[in-house]
Amino acid sequence: MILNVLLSGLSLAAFYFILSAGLSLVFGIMGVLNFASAGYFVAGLYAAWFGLGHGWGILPAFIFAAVVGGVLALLVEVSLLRPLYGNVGGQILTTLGVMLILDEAVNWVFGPQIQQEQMTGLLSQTVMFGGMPFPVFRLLLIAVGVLIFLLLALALRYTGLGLRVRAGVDSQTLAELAGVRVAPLRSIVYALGGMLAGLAGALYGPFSGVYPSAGLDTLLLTFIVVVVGGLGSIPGTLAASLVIGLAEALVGFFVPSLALTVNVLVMILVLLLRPQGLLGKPPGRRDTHAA
Amino acid sequence: MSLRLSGIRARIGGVPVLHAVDLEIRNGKVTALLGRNGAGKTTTLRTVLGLTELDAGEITCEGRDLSRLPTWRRAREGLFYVPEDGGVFQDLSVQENLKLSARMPIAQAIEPFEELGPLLGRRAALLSGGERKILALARAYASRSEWLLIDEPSLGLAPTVLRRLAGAIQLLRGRAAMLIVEQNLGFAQSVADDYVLLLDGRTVDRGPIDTLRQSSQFDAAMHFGQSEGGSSQ
Repeated sequence: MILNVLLSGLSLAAFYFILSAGLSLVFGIMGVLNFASAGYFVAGLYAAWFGLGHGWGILPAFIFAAVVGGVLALLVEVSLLRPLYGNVGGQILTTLGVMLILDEAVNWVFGPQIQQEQMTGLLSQTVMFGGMPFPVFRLLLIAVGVLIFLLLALALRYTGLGLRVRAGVDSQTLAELAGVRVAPLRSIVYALGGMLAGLAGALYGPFSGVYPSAGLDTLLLTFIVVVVGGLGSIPGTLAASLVIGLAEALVGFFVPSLALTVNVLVMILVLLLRPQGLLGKPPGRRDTHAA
Repeated sequence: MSLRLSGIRARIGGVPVLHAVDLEIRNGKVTALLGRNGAGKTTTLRTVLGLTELDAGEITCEGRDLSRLPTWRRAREGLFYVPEDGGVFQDLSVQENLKLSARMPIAQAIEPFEELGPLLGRRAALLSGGERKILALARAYASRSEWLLIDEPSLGLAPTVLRRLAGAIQLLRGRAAMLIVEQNLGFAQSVADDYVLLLDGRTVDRGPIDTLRQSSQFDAAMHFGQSEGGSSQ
């Protein structure tokens, strides 16, 4: 039984990581809390549902969801956000507006009702763990989470692009002083964030169905994970996802009435003990060379 | 090879800080940019790099106008900035810091900076103040930049580290033109060939560093610097 609870916690953690990693990186390189990620999440959710509904396999449908999220994010970055660099208020309002427009767009096209068919069926296939059935899809979720963490970690650590991104997250001004052109890095990271949000949307569908306000429903949780992990830190986002996912599963098992509040409690506890988050930069270490 | 600033004007937060800065630095020479606190020394460096917006004037490298280029382009044109805290990427390792700017193999880049050898894998945030400045100069060396702008290199360093830093600056002298902002007159005189005196955002005098104290503007330009910089002479 406890093994099932732990596996559920790990699958939640994997989902939270995929949901939040892009947002964390976007904040690190752009300094903006990207509300639009909830819009890319919904777009990915409906894209996967559309793909599965047209007989695509799970892999093409989910890749399509990530691509839709990434392309939308790239379009938004190039057309709307690029002129707003340095204008944090403008960026926040714009990303908020993009989220609302995307939510309303799917509402208008597909209607407000929850679509259960296609997606929830993915949970029906189970394997036995400790005498209890466990959905194969949750195992897949853990595998995808681990794969994405490894890909991100290896790319950030061992590629030239990853080095430039980490330099930009450390200090954009110093990166530019080192000859790094930060603008294309922002586009790449923002599109990557959109892809991850779109994929997270697809992975969310089997648990909750497909509905227009799904992005809004997960937005608070996304910010909690990013803040607990430390803004801009991928290892921090992983650590926060694991802490929150496992805490939610364990508390949900032993004290079900507290299951929905445990992530907020974790955030309050972490912020009291370590205001910069588990692996975030201390506030005084933000870009001191900026104009 | 020279970097020339002509009639530079700049403001910070709407307040004019530079009114008329003129100077020229030449390959193989170290020029000390001197003046009391608030004279506009750091603002001059930041304006050259595009970090502070230029109101008027011209910044040229060998006749090429850099005035309207973004910071990253100026860096690629050969400008390298070492801010007073060293300006290293704290979350990157020493090796990664070098790699980001290097136009030569890392092994070759650290040959003159052998103390960095055992530290290659260490995060820059864990280095001492002196090690950070040595790393910053090693990055400048590895980048093969032609114009080095160094802000307060001696700030907060012990005398033994200062000697090491002076040695590193001598090494870079052969490859680049250097403009060094410095409050510590003794250190400035030990490394520089020429001086430029700034007073209230204007160039008021320049000449060979040996003649600094004979400058008619010396007392006016350096007064507060002398009283506040403990090591100034």
